[in-house]
Amino acid sequence: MTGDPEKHAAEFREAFQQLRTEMEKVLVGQSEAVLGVLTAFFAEGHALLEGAPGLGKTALVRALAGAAGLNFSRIQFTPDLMPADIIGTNLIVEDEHGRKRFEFERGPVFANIVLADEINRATPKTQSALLEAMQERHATVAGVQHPMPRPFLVLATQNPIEMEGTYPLPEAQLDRFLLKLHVEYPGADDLHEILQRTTREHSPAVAPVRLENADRLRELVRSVPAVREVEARAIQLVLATHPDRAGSVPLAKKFVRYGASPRGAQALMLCAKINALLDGRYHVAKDDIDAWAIPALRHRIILNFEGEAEGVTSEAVLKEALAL
Amino acid sequence: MDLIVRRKLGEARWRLTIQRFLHLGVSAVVAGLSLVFVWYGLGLFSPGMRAWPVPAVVALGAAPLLAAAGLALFWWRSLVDVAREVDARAATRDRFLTVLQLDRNEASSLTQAIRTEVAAFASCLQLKDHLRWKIPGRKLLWLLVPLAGLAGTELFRHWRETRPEVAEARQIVEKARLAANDQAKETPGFEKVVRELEIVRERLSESPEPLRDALRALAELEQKLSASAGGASALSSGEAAALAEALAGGHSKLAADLRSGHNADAAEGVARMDPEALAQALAEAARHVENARLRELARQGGARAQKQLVSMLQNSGGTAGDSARRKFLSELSDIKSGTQAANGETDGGKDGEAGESPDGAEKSAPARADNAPPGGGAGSEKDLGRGTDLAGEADPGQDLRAVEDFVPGRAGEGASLGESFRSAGGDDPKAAQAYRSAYRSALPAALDAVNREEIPSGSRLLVRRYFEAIRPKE
Repeated sequence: MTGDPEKHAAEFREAFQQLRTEMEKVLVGQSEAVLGVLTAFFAEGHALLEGAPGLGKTALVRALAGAAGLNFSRIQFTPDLMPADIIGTNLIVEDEHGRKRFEFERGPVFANIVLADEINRATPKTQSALLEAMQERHATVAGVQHPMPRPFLVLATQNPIEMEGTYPLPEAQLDRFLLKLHVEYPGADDLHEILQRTTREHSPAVAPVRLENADRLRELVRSVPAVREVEARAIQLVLATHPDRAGSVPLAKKFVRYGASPRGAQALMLCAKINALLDGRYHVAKDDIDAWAIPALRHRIILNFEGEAEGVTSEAVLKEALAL
Repeated sequence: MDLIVRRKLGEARWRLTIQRFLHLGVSAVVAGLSLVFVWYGLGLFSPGMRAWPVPAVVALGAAPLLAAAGLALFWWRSLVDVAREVDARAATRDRFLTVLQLDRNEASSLTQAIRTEVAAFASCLQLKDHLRWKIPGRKLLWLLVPLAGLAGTELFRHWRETRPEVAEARQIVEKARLAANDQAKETPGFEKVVRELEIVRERLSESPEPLRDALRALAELEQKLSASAGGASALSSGEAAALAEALAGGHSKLAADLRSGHNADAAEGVARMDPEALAQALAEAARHVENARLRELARQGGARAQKQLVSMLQNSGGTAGDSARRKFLSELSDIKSGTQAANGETDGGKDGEAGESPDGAEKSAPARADNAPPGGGAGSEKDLGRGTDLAGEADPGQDLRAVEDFVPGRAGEGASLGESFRSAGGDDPKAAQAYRSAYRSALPAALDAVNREEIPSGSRLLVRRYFEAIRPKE
């Protein structure tokens, strides 16, 4: 990275804060979710938003797209949704000379920000259509790779209440999400504020923030150094979730089938770097890692049957690991 | 920039070292004192356990403290450890650790920015706000109060036991105990005396006036043994010794018999004596020891006194047990006199007066007398007041401590102790010197006599003031 890194860090903080301010114009009482989504945005990761209907999940994604000035598409996942509905398909088109040829018609996934609404309602086949796009950032149709636009961010939502007719996301897909964010129910004061903002004549609108150097800012995030001992904290947390590893916590030993993957450690480190920059530092601290341990790892821990039966949550396992 | 960080970490290292020392030190002292406490607690149930000497108790506190200091220094030897600790306690977000572990050659463009930021942070960081020197478990330290009280009591007890007066008094009693022990090997009944003396010896440390109490205890023991040895009709060893000294000039065999306790031979010797010479000897002995019974015998004079003395001597004989008692009494008297003679050497040495016999021969007989002044009392052939001081021959400018040669005197010459006292009122500096000397030699005997007498407690102060009043001016 060239230029003055301290100036870039200041730019990063300013851009982040501006986006946050704009998003919070339309989202009240969801500061944690906003922070998480923005973190995923700058880390070039995807986020899974979990929350009851009507809490503003879709609004959150719309707000991000609006504030960042990026194109946005929404895919409402249903059981009859097909992979081609997401990725697109080759259509036979006829040119002016009457010759027919295949032309790739891009699906809604080809957008900077994709809202995969109620992702757990689609069949696993359809869900996995997103896998390649999420991980490789391109889609292959009829042997041709079609790259995703940059930035590419999938923000999926799922409703934890209605489980009937849903298809839980496969582990491989879950692991592709950088963060799993819980969208909490707002408090009374926040509800007042929501009413104030949304039931008047003029509802607040999100103004786009000029992000001319977004790629450079993402590059800056990755350039934040972390010393070995700090990295060791991330590794310690990840390994603590594995039932058969030295240093695993008792809850993990008893109730976890599979612990967090190496992607978990990567996600932790990226989020920690953003946290450090937001805190005005140029290095990662163990506290930064701890701050993001739960959102970055909770969806990567698979409980065993006993754990499910006992009602143990992955958050409980992680809290025990954080106490190490 | 690194210099600022390293200087700050150096400061933190000292603070952490002191903190660690306090933690370890408190634990060590508590453990040490607890050990003492437990030991004393066990001692309450098993009296055979000996109390630890004070140096051992002090070592129990000092040695762990030294170990704690060493361990604390060792603990924080690594700067990375210090950085880790400072980061944890001062919530510095791993700044110090990062800057220490950051590779200078790291490709990140932020490396230099980190160093600058951490240096600025370090220069503003007040370590005293985060690394306070606190004594750990201060509330628990209240537990130390009884332990400290115990330690204080032990120190006080140790001080009391090691006072010079106690040591001296113990020495006297120990000599008496050894003498009684020797007697106990041959004569039954002395074990009780040995035990009594052991008790006296142990109690001396609690006494405010150990020497006085030791002498008093010996006097009481002497009285008790005297009473059981021969009763009032028997000639006491002191009386016999005084009489022996008075007779030493003309009747050396008789004097020797009296000294050695061969009372039957002595009785025969007395029976063969000229009554007039006997009366003269009795008068001299009575004058020197101021003994009422001898004075009465001298006053009676003649055959009657002779007969009575023979009877008293015969009564003084008796069983082997009585003989042993008398022998012990004689030794007891020697011990008291020896002690007082030693005192005389110490106190009166400056005046050239020593309790030793001038020619190094056996101790003077009056020294063994019950009421004879120790250190060679009046009536002695050697120190009947004819020492250099009492004879007025001492050179005032002489270093009298160095004077060890005494001029052998002759019986009947020179001033007696009483005469010295009486003549002390004059302006003659030699007389004052003699008085001072006489006072010092008589004081222990006076104390001994006071101890033996039942003085009402209300009058003790008066008696003490009396002795203060007659003390010669230095």
